Amino acid sequence: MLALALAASPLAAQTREITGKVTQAGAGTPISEATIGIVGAQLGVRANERGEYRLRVPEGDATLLVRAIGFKRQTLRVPATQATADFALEKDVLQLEGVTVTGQATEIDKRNASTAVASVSAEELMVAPAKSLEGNLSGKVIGATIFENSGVPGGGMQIQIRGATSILGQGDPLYVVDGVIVSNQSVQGGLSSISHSSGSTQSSQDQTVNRLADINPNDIENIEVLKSAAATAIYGSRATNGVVVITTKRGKAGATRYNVTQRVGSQQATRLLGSRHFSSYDQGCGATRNADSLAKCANGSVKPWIGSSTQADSVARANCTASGCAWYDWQGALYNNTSPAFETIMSASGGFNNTKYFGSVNDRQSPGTQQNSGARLSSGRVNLDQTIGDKITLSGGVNFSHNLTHNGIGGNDNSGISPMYALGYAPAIYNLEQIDPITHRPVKMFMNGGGSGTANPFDVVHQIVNAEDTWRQIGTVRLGYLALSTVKNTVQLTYLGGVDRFSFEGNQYSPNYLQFEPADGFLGTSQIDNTSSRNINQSLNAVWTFNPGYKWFNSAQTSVGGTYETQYTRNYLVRQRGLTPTRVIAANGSDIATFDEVREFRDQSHYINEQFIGLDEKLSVAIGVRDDRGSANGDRSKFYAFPKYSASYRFTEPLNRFTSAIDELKLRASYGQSGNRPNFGVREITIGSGGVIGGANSLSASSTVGNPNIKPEVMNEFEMGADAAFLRGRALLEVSRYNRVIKDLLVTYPLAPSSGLGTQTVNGGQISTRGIEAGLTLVPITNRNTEWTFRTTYQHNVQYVDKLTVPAFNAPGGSFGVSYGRNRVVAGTRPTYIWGNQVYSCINTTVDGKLVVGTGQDNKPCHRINAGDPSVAGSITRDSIIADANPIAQISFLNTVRWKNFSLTGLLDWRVAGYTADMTKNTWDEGGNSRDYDKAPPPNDAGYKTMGDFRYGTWNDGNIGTYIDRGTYLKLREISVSYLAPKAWASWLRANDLRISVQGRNLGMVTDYWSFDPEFNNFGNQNFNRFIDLGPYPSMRQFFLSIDLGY
Amino acid sequence: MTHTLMRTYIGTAAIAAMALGAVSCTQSAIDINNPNVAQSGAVATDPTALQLLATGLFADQRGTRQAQITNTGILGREMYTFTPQEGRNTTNYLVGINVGGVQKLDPAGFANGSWNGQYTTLRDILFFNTFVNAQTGLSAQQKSGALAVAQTFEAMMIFELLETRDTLGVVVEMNAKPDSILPFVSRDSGYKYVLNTLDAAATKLQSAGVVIPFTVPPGFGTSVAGANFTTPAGFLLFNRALRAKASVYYATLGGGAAAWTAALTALGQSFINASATTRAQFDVGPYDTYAPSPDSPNGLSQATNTNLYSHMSIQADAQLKADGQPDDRYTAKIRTGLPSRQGPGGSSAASTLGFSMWPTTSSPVPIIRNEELILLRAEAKLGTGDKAGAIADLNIVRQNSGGLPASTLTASSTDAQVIDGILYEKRYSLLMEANRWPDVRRYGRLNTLPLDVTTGSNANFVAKVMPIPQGECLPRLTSKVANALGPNGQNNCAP
Repeated sequence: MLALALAASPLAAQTREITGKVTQAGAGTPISEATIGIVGAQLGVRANERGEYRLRVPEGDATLLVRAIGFKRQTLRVPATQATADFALEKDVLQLEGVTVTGQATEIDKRNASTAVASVSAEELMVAPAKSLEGNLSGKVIGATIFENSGVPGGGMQIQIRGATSILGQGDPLYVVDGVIVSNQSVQGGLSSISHSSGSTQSSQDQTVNRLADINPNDIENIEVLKSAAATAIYGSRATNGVVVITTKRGKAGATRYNVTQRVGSQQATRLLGSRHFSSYDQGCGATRNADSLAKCANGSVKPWIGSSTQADSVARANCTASGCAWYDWQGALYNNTSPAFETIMSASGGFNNTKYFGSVNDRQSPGTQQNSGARLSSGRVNLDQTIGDKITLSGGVNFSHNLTHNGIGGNDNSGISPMYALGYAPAIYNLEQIDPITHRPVKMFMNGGGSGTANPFDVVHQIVNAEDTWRQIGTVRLGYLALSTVKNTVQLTYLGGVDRFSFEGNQYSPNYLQFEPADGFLGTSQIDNTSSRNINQSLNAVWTFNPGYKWFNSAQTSVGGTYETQYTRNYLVRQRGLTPTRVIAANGSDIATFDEVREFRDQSHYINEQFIGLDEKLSVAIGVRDDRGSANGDRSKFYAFPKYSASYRFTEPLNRFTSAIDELKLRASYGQSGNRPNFGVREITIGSGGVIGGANSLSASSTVGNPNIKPEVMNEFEMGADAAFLRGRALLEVSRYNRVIKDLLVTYPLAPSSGLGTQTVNGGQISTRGIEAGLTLVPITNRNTEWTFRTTYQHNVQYVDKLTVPAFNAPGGSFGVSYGRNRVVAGTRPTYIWGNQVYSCINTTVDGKLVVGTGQDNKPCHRINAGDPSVAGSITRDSIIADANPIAQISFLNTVRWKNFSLTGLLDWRVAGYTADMTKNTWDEGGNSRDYDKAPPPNDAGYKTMGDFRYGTWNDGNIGTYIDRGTYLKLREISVSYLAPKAWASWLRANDLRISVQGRNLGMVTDYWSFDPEFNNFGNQNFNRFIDLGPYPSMRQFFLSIDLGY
Repeated sequence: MTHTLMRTYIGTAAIAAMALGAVSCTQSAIDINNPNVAQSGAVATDPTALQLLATGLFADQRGTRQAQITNTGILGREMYTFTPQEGRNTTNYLVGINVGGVQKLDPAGFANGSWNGQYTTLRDILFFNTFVNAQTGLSAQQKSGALAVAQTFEAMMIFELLETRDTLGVVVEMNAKPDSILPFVSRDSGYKYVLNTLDAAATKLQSAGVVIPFTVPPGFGTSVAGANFTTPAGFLLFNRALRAKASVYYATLGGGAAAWTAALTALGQSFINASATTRAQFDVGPYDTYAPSPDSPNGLSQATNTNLYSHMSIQADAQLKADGQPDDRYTAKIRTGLPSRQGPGGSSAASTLGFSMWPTTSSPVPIIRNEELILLRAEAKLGTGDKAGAIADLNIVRQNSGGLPASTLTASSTDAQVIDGILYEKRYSLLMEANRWPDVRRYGRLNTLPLDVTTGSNANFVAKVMPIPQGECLPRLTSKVANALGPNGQNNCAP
């Protein structure tokens, strides 16, 4: 489209020339890159860096249209006699202008868009640095829920758009950078080999960093989030989770402009748990409410600590006196890393003749709050645009990045190394930082005797390596050819090729001398994990634009094209245990395990889209269809069609006197389908590996049964909405209502184990999401010195399992089962419900043998399940719905105030409800070390000795409710104060511009949540079960001071 | 205008065709293989498939061994699994859940295992049988040999299931259709199925010639097993040993006199060697072998499993030899002086004992041994009224394996006393060989198992059976198949 606009126009013979200048209203500064054209025609010219333009128009009166990104459009009638026309454009504070993508090679004016549009500009994105791009988007995209999995530096976040649209399939949006489909894979580093958080060498509990973290947010010009199926249908069978279209910065005509930004910052833990203060040795016995064991504890016949040992007992006796026990702030000492964060960004941008270029380099070092953890992202990008003759344009971009993370230790753990987990079982009565005079390392942990089960976290965080090293290259080339160009018709052909590849090396090392190491019988563990990923996508498009020049028929655009996409990932891992000292390579271990897996997808598609704009640009109608086939489907030759239909109408004049306050009202409605393809390998009938016995290999029946009939799930979404601008450009209200129904849902059918088989994946069910999204933007003040913009967003959705053709099952992805809560896929309920144990006082048995649980107070006949004696008092534990993990609403408030050279931006993010399984609290209660353990129990539960005893005891009796906590929070996500220094200061540094900013991220959180953060999830990115907080790496707040210099 | 439009249409159509051609023309481009797993269809024609599938059966049944030992071991008070930070390995077995005032094991908890592995093996056997029957290159004798091995394992798997599920019954059929729901059969039918299947396998072995048409793993060969179980004749000895064991169990569970007699007959056809005096002679029998990766390591081994503890009652109950030292079997199998550990929150007694039968991760684990056969014969003799013979048999083991003085039992002892005597010998001779819990249950002596904690919320109990896993029940709740939920209906499935 850019090429289209820039193409020299073969005009009719009778023409004249108009010249002029485009400036910003009020400020008077020139606006380069403004496009100037004739209303109704497609062709135009672009202003130079001084804002000047020169345009040939036909003889006679001409109506010119001037547009520039960030400014309101302006039209001006230029009489036949007038040869100059200057324009002063007003700032587009409400962001009514601009374009939004509608296809692989097409876009449309935002005001004519017939689906909800969500775009974020560079300026909005980069208010304050974040650990990865998702963080920069938090609170800025209506309809997108953004989670941080833990406080691990360097990444590990998830974007969910309009709820989860799949149970089994891909849950991430599709990320497209300048046309390249990029991987957001979560490569599991392999900490599980040491933490034993799962039985395997890798798991989603490895504090995984998803690979969006390799994208440098500073290079981004604009992000568009396509939400509704009508908008995403152009991406076919990979689009149900939404599409995030990222456009990077490109060169602009004119002399090279350089920008240098230097940041320095620091970080600290946002909140820590605290721990119990023991007042006496005997109090340490109070892990149980059993009076008998208290007495035994006092007389020494029972040891006071869980996992009691002689050593633990002697430590306890030594550190407690009649006046109380010692107390140490272990967490404060472990998570005290405030060492400076640095970021250097340099970019250059310019253009001459037919070439434009943008280049940048970036280096960001972000330490984590845990000692010995941190991340470093270094990247470079070059974008080039070249026009060859007047018909060919060639654009290319290449990005290299190196992302190195030291993720530290956190999360679930079964070997006693995760500090926030292990400390829950260790009374803070002993100085763990003291150095053992013999080993010269921190003293051994006194719990569980020693030799197994746990290790001193101060030792662990310094000795265990948990590093990930990723090298990534992303490249794109786009070749455009203007095949036909007349006043009314243009045909543009485009080829686009994109390549995204990375190699990931995970490295875990636990030296053989650590205290917990004998626990698995092998001293020391070392693991190298290599993943290589390669994504290639190509597309070919033809776009025919027809502008007949009638008032009722403004334009029609027909695009046809096809795509071919491949994704390939190979994960190779070697783990060795039983190491000799200091040697870490694989050849050395006494126990060596390897893992090797390939995943590959190939997809083909073709599509046709039609866009019609008519009735004086008030009516906009789009229809289209994309046909997809792919290697993951059972039938690889079959094309699956994803159609879309959308329309909008703008009321630009008041309908009556009540609506005169409304400047413009757009009503829009759309319906579309998009898909989510089956997982890799689901289609194949395979036979498994039976393992090796006596050196002989073997085969045995595969536990998963292939399904040769598997096909994509299909999301049907109906969206309707209204966008209204009112108060004379001071206010904008956007409201959308959507209903998405996902049919042919991919579900795993758990076969009865007596079949000897595990699961089969089938298309068997339907889930739906209904939601509402609203955004209100106000400009309370705008004048020469001051501009205040206030924006608030609201989103709410509810998900349902409409039907299932298979028995109800636990939502896949990690969870800890019925005792700790998990999502279940049960027809007629919400898949976001947290199910878990709950105690009931009676059971009603109906005649057909079905059981109904009751409270015994509902006047229904109440029987014991074991019959015989209904009079026996008792209770029964049942798997029940405890709460909904899905928040009722997510609301954000964004304020931007500019006053003279100062600007202040603040973003508040408010989540209402949404429950979590606070297993961190559970482990700290189990260990008897939670900070409020000794508080009085709730009044109605006075049978319990203390608060901790009440919570743990209630849970232990089969009621998990005491650990299902409400996750409401109000977070100060971002704050930034910046000052554009006087030119004199800048020139002192030989620069043109100088800006000084102070920025903060996640500075504070108001919540009554007990543990770290309701956003967290122990299992990383997953569609469901993402509410489990278990001994995570604590969240951090960050501060920065930035100096921006422009040359 | 029309001309331009026409031209544009034609141009666009041509470009569209080009786009499809260039980018997405050939379907072969998306025909890619999954290189991670063997495709089922390719196996049928592969020359190595018979050996690979046969080895798979041995690997499968090995896969059930350790869980059978640990599940019955914890419930039978032989051992604990004291995993740090995962107390459910203790509490779920010893404390269970409270259902209407009755303690039970949780069908959704940890103590519901020893189920899936057996059925996975049965599924493999079904696949193996279909494969063997379709092979045109195998002679009738070779087919008989191959099918007989599979059939023996089939019976063994169902027998293992009966050991843990007892009165709940089992599913004995296997259907090619993956989502079939097949009925539960009663314990009695289950045992009959096991006995008939073993006999059918024996018949096939007798007509299998002299060679089994694939290499049998080393655990069945002389170097590990102490005798050769790798030929049809050798494998038949193993088959008969299983027949004897199943008959003895069945005899105590309603099979009666006929089963006792059948047990003695089967013992006579097995590898029993009642004149054994040395440890090596008692240890003769097929074993499962282990080795470090890529083979399977022995997960019970003291070299790597530091969570496996022995029940302290094994120390307290060991009888003394003439020299005042404990039973040789206790000394040979129990390690002392481990760091004291106990269940979380005081859910079990503390222990400082471990096991020493598996010093390395390559230590083999017996499937059935001569020592067990002699004690089974003692049971069978008692069952058929030969009390003196029974006492003589138990003394063979007691004196030679345990180093203990001869039993004080005499012909005038009551049957119950002789049973007590046999159970003592079985307890120490077959420690951690998945016998104790089924044995005390068969003789109605579950109440003789010690409870570590007798009062309070952690009060221990002895489970009678392991529950049917919840995963087995959920797909059955809506099934129309008779007895889909087993003899107690939903009680098997939901507490």
